[in-house]
Amino acid sequence: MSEIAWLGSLDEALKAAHDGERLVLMDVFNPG
Amino acid sequence: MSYPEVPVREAIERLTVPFQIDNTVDANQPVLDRYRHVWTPDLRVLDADGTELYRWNGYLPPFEFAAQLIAAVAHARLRRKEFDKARPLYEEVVRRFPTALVAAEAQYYAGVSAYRSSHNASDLLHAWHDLEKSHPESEWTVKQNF
Repeated sequence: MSEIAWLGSLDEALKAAHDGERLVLMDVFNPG
Repeated sequence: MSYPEVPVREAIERLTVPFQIDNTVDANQPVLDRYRHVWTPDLRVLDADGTELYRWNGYLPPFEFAAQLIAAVAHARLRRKEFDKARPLYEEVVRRFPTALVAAEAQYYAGVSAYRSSHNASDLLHAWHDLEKSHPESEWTVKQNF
């Protein structure tokens, strides 16, 4: 099963959403 | 963790550009401060300019997470006045996840987005009539009274 390709930078995510086809999903997590 | 489940992964990949940020890393503090982060899980739906359009906190099991995510994107589309993109997402929640926690809210806003698109009051009243039948005890059934 493939995993979700989470981006690691907000700027990168905003740029990828620039065409408006998809919106950014930001997941703030705590690894603990 | 809900992310490995197929309905969750499918909805994330279809509707969003997914981005994760670790709240224990000092270098991430400016982004966390920008969005007034307090508690995890912390999920936000953002515009391409970084504007927050929807948010929720707290763990949800896969069935609930998938429904919440689709409804969250629908809310974001509604706020952008993209009514024709919002409506099918609300309707998808109602159709695929009729017992989800967010289902009644999705039914309420399915009517709102339909009406804002068509300006036909019957679209709103039809959706809200269905809401009254399917979720008579919901707060959204209370909120549809006027």
